[in-house]
Amino acid sequence: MTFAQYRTARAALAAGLGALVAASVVMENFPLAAAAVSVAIIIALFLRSRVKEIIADERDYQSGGTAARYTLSVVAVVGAIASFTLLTLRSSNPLFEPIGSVISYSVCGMLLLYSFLFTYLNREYEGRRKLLYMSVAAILVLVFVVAGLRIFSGEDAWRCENGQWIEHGHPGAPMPAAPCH
Amino acid sequence: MAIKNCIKELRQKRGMTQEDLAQSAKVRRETIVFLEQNRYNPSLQLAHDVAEALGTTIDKLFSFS
Repeated sequence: MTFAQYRTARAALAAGLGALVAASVVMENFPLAAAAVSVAIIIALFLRSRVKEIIADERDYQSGGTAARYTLSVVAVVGAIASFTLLTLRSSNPLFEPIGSVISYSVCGMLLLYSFLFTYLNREYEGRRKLLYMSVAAILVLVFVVAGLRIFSGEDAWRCENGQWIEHGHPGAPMPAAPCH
Repeated sequence: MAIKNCIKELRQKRGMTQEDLAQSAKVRRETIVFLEQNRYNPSLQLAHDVAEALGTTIDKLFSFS
C-alpha cells in the first residue's frame, strides 16, 4: 500500500467512524460507539503496518511536538477563560456550572498529564521508573480517598430527619422500609 | 549560526533522485527537499545517514557560517 492510498483509506475510516459514533449517540447505544472506536483503531493500525513507505520521520515529530506545545498553551488559556466565565455566570443558566466544571477539570487533567510526561521524558531510565511508581501510587491513593469519601461520607443516602426519610443527593437504594425515629 | 549543505550537488553527481536518497536515509522525500533548501537542520543521526548514503562524511557535507 502506498502512502497516498493509506491517507485515502484513513480519511474514509475517519468519516465512517464519525458517522457511526454520531448514529450511536442519537440511538443512545454507547457500547456501539465504544466498539466502533476500538475496531477503527485496530483497522488503522493494520493499514499503517501495510504501508511500505515512511509515514513520519524526525521532521514530522519535531513539527508535531511544536504544534502540540502551541495547542496546549492555546487550549489551556481558552479553556480557563471559558470555564471561569461560565462558572461566574452560572446563576443565569443552570447548564453553565456543569459545563464550566467539565472544561476546567479537563484543562487541569491535560496540564497534569503534560507535566508528568515532560518530567518523565526528561529523566534518565532509573529516574523514570521511580517517577512512574510514585505517580501510580499517588493515583491509587487518590482513587481510594475519593472512593472512600463518596462511599462513607453520607452523600447520596437516605437520612432520617424529623421522623421522615429524606433523600440526600441521589441515593441508589430505595427508601428504607424500617421506620424513621 | 547557519548550517549549509551540498546535498543536492552530491546527490545529482551520484545520479540519485530525492526519493532514492530519502529511502536510503529512511526519511520522507519532503525532508530531503527541506534539507536541500537549507530549511531544516537534521539530527546528528540523520546527518550521518545522509552522508553515508552519499558516500561522504558529515563535515564534508555540512558547513557552518
